Order: sequence, then C-alpha cells, then structure tokens
Amino acid sequence: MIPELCQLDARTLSERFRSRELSPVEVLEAHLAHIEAVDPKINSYITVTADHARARAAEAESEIAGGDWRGPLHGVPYAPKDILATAGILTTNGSKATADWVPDYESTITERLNAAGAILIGKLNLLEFAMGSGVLSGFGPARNPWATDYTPSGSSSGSGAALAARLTPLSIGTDTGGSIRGPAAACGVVGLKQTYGRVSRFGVTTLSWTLDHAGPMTRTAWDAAAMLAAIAGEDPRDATSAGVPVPDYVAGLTPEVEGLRIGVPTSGFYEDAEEEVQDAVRAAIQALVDDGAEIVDVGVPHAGLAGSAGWIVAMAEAATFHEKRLRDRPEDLDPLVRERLEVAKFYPATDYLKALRVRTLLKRELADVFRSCDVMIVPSSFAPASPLRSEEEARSDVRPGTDPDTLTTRPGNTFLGNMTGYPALTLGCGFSTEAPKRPLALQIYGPPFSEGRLLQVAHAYQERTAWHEQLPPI
Amino acid sequence: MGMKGMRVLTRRRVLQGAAAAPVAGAALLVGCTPADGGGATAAKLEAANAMLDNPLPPERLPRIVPAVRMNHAFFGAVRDLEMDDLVEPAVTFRALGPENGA
Repeated sequence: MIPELCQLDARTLSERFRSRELSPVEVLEAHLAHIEAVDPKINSYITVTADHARARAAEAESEIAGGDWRGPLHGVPYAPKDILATAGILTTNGSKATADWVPDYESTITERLNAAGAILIGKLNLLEFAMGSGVLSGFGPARNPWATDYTPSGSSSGSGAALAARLTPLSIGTDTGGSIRGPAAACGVVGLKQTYGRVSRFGVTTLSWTLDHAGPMTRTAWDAAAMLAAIAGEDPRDATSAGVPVPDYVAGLTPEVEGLRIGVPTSGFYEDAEEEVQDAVRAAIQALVDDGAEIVDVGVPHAGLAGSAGWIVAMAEAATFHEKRLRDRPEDLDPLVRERLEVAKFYPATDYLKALRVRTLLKRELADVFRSCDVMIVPSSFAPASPLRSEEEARSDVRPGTDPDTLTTRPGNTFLGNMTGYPALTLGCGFSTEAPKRPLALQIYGPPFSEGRLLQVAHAYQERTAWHEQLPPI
Repeated sequence: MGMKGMRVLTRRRVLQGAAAAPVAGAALLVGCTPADGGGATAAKLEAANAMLDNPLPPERLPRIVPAVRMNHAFFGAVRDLEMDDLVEPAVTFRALGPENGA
C-alpha cells in the first residue's frame, strides 16, 4: 500500500506547500518511511540522505512560511541517478570501482535543483557507469515495481523504479542511447531527453561526450516542465551547453491539440513492436486526432543505422574516457563493461568518422521531417518490460547495440535522438494485456529546443487519460 | 501476444540457447555468420594490440574475440554505406545546425 502523501505529484505537493495545507517535513518523512518499507523489494536507492534531507526540509518549511517561496520545486523531494556528482555525498556511478567516491564538487543539475529549493532525498541505482548490461549494477539490480521479477530497463533503472513505486516524485536520469526513455517506458513514467546542450552535463560522469544527456524523469509532464525550467540553460562549465533562452515551460502547458501536426513514420519505427504496443501508440495518436490534431506521413530513411553508428560513437568515446581505469584497475569493472571497453580499443578511427557522417545524414533527415510536422510519435520500446536475467546471462550477451535489458528494444528508436541531439519524450500510453500487467509507452520527437512543445503534447495527453495515475501492486 | 512478440521471444531463446556457442548464436541474430567480422582471432588481436600499443594484457585477448567479431559485423551496415561526398562528419557537434537556421 502506497501512503497517500507519496502518491501526490510535485505539482500538487507544491500547491499544498504554498497554501500550507502540507509541510515539506511531513512529506519528506512519509517518503523516508515508504523507502524503508518498500525499497528492499525494489532496490532503487543506493544512498538515502535522510539527515541532509531533514535539515533541508525544515529550512524549506520555514522559508515558505516566511513568504520566501522559490518556485514549484521548493520543498519537493528529488533523487537523481547516482551518476551525478553531489559534493560531500557518495556518488558511486553504480560501480564497485567508484563505490567510495565522495566528490568535492556539485553537478550543475543538482546545484540548480538545490537552488530551486528541491530536497535531495537520495541517490538512485543504475547500470554500471550507465553502460552495464541488464542487471549489472555494482549494487544489485533495481526491480520493476509493476512486477518485481521484471526489469525496470536501464541504465536509469533506479529512477524509473523509484518513480513508479512513489519513492520519489522527481528524478534525473541520463540518456546516451535511450537510458532515460527505456526505464520511463518500462515503468510507465515520463522521461525527457532534451536537446543536446539544453541542460549542462557538468558533473555528470561521462559515458560519451557527444551522446550523453541528463534530463527529468517524473510522473507527469507538468512536473517534468517544472524540473526542466529549473535545470536548463547555458553553463560556462560545459562547453556544449547552449546559450538559447529558457522559456517558461510550465506556462506553455495547455490541453489544446487543435491543428497539431503529428508525424507518423511510414516505415522503420513501428514494424518490430509487439502488436499491443503498436495498438497503444496508435490509439494515443487517435485520441489527439479526435481533438483536432492531424497525421502527416514522414520518413527517416537511415534511422535503422542510428543504433549501430551510435554504438560506435558511444563505445569509442567511453573507451577513451575510461582509458586510465581500464589500464590501471580493470578488475574493478564488471566483466562485461570491461569487455565492451576493451573491444572498443580496436575500433578503427575510420569507423568512428563514418559514424559521424551518418550522424550528419540523420540530422538532415530529421530536419526534413519537422518541415512538415510539429512532432513525431513512435513506440518508445517494442515490448513491455522483460524478466530480469541472471548476471551470468547478461554477461554472456556480447552483441553490440542492443538494449541491454530487454533484448526487445530496437535501439534506433531511441538512439536517433542521441545521434541527432533532437529532443524526445517518453510517457506511458497503456498496459500489457498479458500478465503481469506492465506499462506500454510512446515517444514524442521534436525539432531542436522544442521541449516546450513536447511537454505540452504530453500534458495534453495526460489530461485526457489516466495511465499515469495507476499504482503498481507493491 | 502477436506474431511480432513471438519473434522477439524467439530471438531471446536463440540467444539463451547459444550460450555454449555465443558467437554463432549472436551472429545469427543480426543476420551474419561467424566468418563475418573481419575474421578476428586471438593472434590477430595480439598483433594489433602490440601495434596500437594498447594496454590490454595478452590473456584477455582470446576472451574478447567473439565480441570483436560481433562489433565488426554490426558496424558493417555503417561501413558499407555509400554517402555523397558532401556529407561531412558531425565533428563539432551541435544540435542546432545550419539546416535549422542557426
């Protein structure tokens, strides 16, 4: 049974904090108690920062009572993936290799969330260095709250699981090939991989400099909008962050879809999805069409290469980033992570550059898509969450470029966003008919810096449906 | 579950069943044969490792041969793609490129 206070989304919490119907302290305590009771079954938290959070919650309560309201995140608990550096607080990267690392600096994202008054309640489990396979976290696998013998996907596995289990209302995930959107899909929550450069990567442990994104994971589009507004914007500590003005994402959340042009690819994105996934995504599109949106046929001819080209880029960059670790202490890495890095040492530079040329092609093709439509909607994953594999099974999978958890995700559907830098948002659009009941999800793509539009469409959909309000059986 | 779901499960079963011969099983999944992938062998990797001055200990090399082969085969589609000479690498990466008016 999930406590009532933990069922409230950030928007509701914020409204009630401001009206003083609720206190940040009592909400925090409810979450801490819920974590203690439920997380042993889910394993979503690596660290719980109870004392730190209690002090911050008391401060927030006092500030809000004194009229010093910092905005919609003030007093609301959050828990990022444990790959974001938090000064003075353990940051493990999900790896035994860095199991004792306490950074002396703060990631820009957590710094901005803290400044917005959000309260760090803990750090969440992940696949090792965001590239472990399946269950391979140095801290054991997180489990899917909808069915605890099933994967929450990865690599932001703890983020998806904790949100679904109502163990935090807000999280931050990272996404190099789909690691925000995979867990969002498997757990039925909202995951936003924003435009490359929209959010600073400073203090986020690198997997791939040119593919990594860190973005909001929440239960509602409204909460994601509030979170993105807090973390977005240029950062001099990240040379790739963009000096593009940050709009008021929350103010743009209307339920209107009249005249919205939805691009639906005529090939390459739907075919490999299970029928019920296809049906759920098409039903979601139809719900928007019924209220005035229109469908536009589109195509991304080379989308099928996004996965293989993306894998070259990701692993070549990862092998460079982890060079010292691989040379000096390789035994600290999980055997599969070590193997992936070792293999990448044999990638020819010509393959890497060819992948970068594919990247140019994909960008051109997506730019063409958005000349005729506002958003493009495709399945996020091809199937609902799959059963957890054993560590041995996960390590035996030497294939590159496949979703490490499910073996059912066609990486091109998500890798396309990383290869192009274009934003994409995943949200739940149904549940499997086959037991156990597991979420199904769609993915909304848009042109660069169109996060406001993606959030608005997601919000409009959630206003019309109640998938996101359903509770897992924990 | 529809036919497409069945195909997904079959892939998984193939992978699981191929545990004793992971190269063959995994290669089957991406439509290639173990002979693909540039014919990597432990001896070839040893030579390349020395040539590239890689830090990998020799005893590791036989273990990564299947993965090297799989990676090579998987990248074939990228390697074989013919592109117009005007397609340049996205070296300096920017999401907002000239095609978007930047």
